[in-house]
Amino acid sequence: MDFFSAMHSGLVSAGWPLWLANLVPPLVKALILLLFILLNCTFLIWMERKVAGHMQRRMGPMRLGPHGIIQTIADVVKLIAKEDVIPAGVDRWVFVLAPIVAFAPAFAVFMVIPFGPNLIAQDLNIALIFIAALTSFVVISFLMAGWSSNNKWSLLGAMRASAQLISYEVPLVISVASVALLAGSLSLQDIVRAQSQSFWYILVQPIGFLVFLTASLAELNRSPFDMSEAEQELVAGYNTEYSGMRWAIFYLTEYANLITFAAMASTLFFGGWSGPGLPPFVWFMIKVYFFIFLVMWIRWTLPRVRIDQLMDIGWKGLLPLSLVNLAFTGIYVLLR
Amino acid sequence: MGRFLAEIYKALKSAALGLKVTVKNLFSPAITLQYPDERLDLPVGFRGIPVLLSDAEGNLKCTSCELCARACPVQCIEIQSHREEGRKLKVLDVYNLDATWCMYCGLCVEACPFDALAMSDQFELADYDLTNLVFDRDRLAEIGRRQVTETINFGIKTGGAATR
Repeated sequence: MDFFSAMHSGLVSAGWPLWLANLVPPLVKALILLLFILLNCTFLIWMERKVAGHMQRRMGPMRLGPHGIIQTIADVVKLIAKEDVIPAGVDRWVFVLAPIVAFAPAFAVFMVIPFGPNLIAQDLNIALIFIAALTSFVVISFLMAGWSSNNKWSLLGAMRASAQLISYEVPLVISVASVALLAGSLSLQDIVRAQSQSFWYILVQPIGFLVFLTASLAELNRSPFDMSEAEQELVAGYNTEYSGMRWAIFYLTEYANLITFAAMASTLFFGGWSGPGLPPFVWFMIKVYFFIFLVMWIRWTLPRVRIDQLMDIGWKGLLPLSLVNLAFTGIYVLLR
Repeated sequence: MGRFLAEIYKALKSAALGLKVTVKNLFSPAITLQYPDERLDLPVGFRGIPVLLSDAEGNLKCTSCELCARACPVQCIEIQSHREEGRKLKVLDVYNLDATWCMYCGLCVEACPFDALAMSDQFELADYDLTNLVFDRDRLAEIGRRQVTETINFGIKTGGAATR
């Protein structure tokens, strides 16, 4: 990006040491992304409650601000003001680190997401592998939280979550691989450009998209696959013992992952920032919010599946589907 | 293979049906009432606390006949009155209704021969102090004047026809 290289050379010519000048642009980018995540998560939590409410013919939050728009801010203030509880008997360090381990990779993924033709923190040529690797980190944080809590619900929730995440990682990555085959690149920016020059990949990858959507719902721990925090069985799963800001970070991570998923879905299958008329960033946000709405819509419609059904769907349903899809995509690419 | 595809089709179809239901409800108006700001239209025959009604001049219609106190199964009504020289009607001195005892049966209203008592539309009686829940003559009369719902055939006397 021109702005950041100009900033860098400006700092160097102003006499800053090179290592410090090298440090500034990435930090500014990280801050912008963090701000983006925080703003959107604040809005998304409100949106989720509104969508949930209206789907049940309720209203959702109404009291704070017009239609309760600042409800989330009030909630955050409440969470910050809460006592920092570390229950007796927990594995202290692991317990404290788990939310951070959860949030850091969710945040780092935003580095490679293309918000526009030039609006990307770092256009990695292995972006898809990078995302797949980082999103798998969630398993570790869930296990850390579940194990360190020294609580049967937490441990059960974490065990379920890790079983689920590891199973669904496989079809997810395979369905993403077929998109990479089509575009001939692992860089998200290249995938978007390839789509804007030809067509949206949803047209040739409907099965791939279906697998991607289902596996993502499981990866996001969202209903109908919210086994890890199945309230009726497990209280709150791995974050049963968490409260206050630590819990809020888990919550934030969940919504950051939701944004990541929506960005991935629109980038891989729906042309990312490309689109007629409107500026690229606006197109991108429209698509992202459409997918976020879709996920919320599914969450408040479908009931939770059982744990054995979950494994069935993952291994006996999605995996063969995605493999067949990959094979056909390969043949298509060869014959093209 | 055929069964596998049929199951996928079934899953997609039922999911789509469910999604249709929720999106239909999403765009239907909410049925929530924002309670302190908006209030439910009380149904005919609603029985709030019994109140004393006044006539057009603002005088209580009560004649201190004590039929309501006698009719009350929990004896929560206390009436004291005296006669004055040259006046045919008794003068009502005390009319205490203990809302902590009252069970809102409406028998007092039914017993009243002068339509001087009515089941009101007041139901927000919560208080931190129990003694405030003993409603005296003046408070009952005041609530009776605030009465917005038509009370002429209010309470259990209602024949079922809408009063509004």
